[in-house]
Amino acid sequence: MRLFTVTAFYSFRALFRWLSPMPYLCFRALFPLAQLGFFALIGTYGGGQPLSFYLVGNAIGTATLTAFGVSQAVADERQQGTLSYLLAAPAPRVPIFFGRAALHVADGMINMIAALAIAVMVFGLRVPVDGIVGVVVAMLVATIAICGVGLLLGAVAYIVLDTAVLANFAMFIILLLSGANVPLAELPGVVAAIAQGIPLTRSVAAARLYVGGASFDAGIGLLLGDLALGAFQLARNTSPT
Amino acid sequence: MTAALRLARQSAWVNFQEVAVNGFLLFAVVWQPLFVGVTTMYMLRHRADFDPMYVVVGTALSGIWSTLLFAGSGAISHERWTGTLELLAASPASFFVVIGGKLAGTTIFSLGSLVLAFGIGTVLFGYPVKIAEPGWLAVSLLLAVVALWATGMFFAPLAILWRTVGRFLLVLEYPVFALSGFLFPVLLLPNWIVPITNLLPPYWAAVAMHGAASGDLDLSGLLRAWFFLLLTGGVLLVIASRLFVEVLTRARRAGTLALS
Amino acid sequence: MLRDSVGAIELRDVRRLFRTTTGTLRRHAKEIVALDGLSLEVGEGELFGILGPNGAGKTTTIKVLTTLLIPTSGTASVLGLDVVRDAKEVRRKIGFVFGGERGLYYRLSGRDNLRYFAELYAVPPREIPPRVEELLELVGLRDRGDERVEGYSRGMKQRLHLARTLLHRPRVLFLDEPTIGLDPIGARELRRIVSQLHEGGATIVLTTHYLFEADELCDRIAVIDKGRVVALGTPDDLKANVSDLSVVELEVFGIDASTVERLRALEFVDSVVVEQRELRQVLRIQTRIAERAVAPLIAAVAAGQVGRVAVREATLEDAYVRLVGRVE
Repeated sequence: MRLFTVTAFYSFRALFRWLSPMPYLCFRALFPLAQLGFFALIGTYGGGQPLSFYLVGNAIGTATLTAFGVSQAVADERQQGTLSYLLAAPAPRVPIFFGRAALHVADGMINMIAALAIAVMVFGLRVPVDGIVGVVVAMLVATIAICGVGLLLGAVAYIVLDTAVLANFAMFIILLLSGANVPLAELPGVVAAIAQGIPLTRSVAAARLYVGGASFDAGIGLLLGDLALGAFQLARNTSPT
Repeated sequence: MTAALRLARQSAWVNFQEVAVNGFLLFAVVWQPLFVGVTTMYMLRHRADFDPMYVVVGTALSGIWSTLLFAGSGAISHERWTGTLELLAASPASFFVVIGGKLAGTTIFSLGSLVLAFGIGTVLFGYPVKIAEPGWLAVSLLLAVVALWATGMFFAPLAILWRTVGRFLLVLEYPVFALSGFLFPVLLLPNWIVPITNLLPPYWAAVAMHGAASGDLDLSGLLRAWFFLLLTGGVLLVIASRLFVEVLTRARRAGTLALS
Repeated sequence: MLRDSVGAIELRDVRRLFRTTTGTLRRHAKEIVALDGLSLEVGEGELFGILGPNGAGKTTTIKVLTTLLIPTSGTASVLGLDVVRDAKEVRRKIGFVFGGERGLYYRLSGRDNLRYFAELYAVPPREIPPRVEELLELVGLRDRGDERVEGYSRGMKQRLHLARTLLHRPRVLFLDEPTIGLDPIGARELRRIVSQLHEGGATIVLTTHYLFEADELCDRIAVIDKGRVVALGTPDDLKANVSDLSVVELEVFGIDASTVERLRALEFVDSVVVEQRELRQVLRIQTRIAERAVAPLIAAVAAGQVGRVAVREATLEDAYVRLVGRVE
């Protein structure tokens, strides 16, 4: 019931944002620790892939949390009826959305950094010094790509159902199909093809390359792919309909 | 006693109708276990001693746990939200029995996870269903459900009495999946955590159900698991009954039964 | 008019404080006195009204008597049972309706709601179906009983609440603003049911904002303000309080606050109430000199601003205004 957790978390954070950072930080650390620990240990037990495979996959996978914030923001604006005013304003749309998304991107980054720190400190993941820049870039790309998903969900949720339920749903599909926990080659052919359209798949793969010691150039193509996917979603959902 | 049982049954039925259309609950019972089941099936099938029933049982437990964690910690606040809390409190009926019955209704609903988990194993992945000890599994399931229901009953007043605790409760989903050995043995956890897991009803639920499904546990091992399942659940239930009294007393002192 | 000398309800010097905290960074605890030594007695079979402005303590009184709040000090009893010590016994014997639409299971039908509450009140299983039908009939919901409550109108929900509280044949009924938010026809229907119950011998305590409602229904009325009883008696007793007064109603256009203050300061004016009606206001001025007040009043309001003028006898509402100094 991540949606409750997340809703609670956001209201909790709203409540304590300035008062006391400690509960906020506890929450922030607990999320990735729980998710990362659960899947990493299942992975270890299954023995299909090395531990680092699951650690990196799920650390990048925490980017999906960003989708909750973004989709909720869009849904809220639609509900309040401010969206059309924003879109009708003479100011260029894309910067508006990026401005609004910046907060969520930062939020997502903190999430992933916490997850990665836990992977390193608790589970002994080793990230080569040369790979750090690459991993951070992969995280940034992952967050931006997920922001695109969040926008899409916010738009769709208006028509279909509850944003939170939808975001949970999306999170699960992304975690299953992005290769975070299951190598894409193991998925049935059709599903593996769909997985290529998931805006996290390449970020996860790139991050694994960097952690494995590959040069920055090696993953750049993958990252550009996800960035393009994210940009496509952003463009489509910010253009007038 | 029979009157209390009747009231509990009616409460369960009322709640059953209320939650049957609840999207959130549907999520906990169906969608989340579907994801957990499919993902772990892929992740665990590389093991030489892989038993699909292990994933089926673990997935079912994860669904039941999520449902009871969420429904339990929201049980009282849900009544406050609908405005019926005052009516329940001012009726001569036992508040504990009423909420207990309602949570039982949700618990029955959560068994859908078990059906779903079997479906994942047999339909999606095409594994044959092999239950080593079906009778013992049924007993284990019954006791597990009772103990997890007791845990939910413990959460209900806790979430009202201490709101911060209540918010943290909701985060206890994945940690309990991990601590209770639903989908991997707790021996993989750091040594110091293992004794903590032994205090949790979900841990004994997993021991009993995995043990009966795989046949790895003989009857004495099962009896031990059943005993601890009832013991841990019973302790939580006794504490819960005290907390329920405390909730009402405190609310009558502070005037917080209405939504305000 | 007491039907019986036995007190069905007794409140003795009941105080109830609420503690609230304000401020986010620095918390200030603040105590609000909701009931300030309230004492009341209601006879068996009586229909007793409690009137008072918002925050006077009406709802708090009802909540103390329905065992939902523990008094800070003082004692309260219903049918001789202490509401704190014998709470469970009290709950068996009373029924209550808090105005508004909440407090029903919206996804259940009206009939199922009643059945469930009958279980909560331990109505013997065999008696439940006929009792439910009887009450649905009483509140006029028999045809709609199988529909989900979420589709009910506000009035239907409030009537269902009334049926709900009658399931276990309570001897004492508490109705807290039962007609609030209802359209005139719905409210009249609800009042009809209340008087029917009263005729059936139930003791009823009713709080309301509508003075004509209290006047029409109640045997006796207590006016409370700031947690204390400021007047007690039959509607006629209360009206007798203002028998020396007449009310001048002036229709005016765009009057300002300073003019109202000037009117209040006039020697022969007892009180002034301003009622806003779209573009105009109606001033209700209580005075001891009746018609003779009209000319000086019109003079005091700038001439040309005044529309319709009427002089009438004081009503219960005017008695109320005199007691609490304001209306909502």
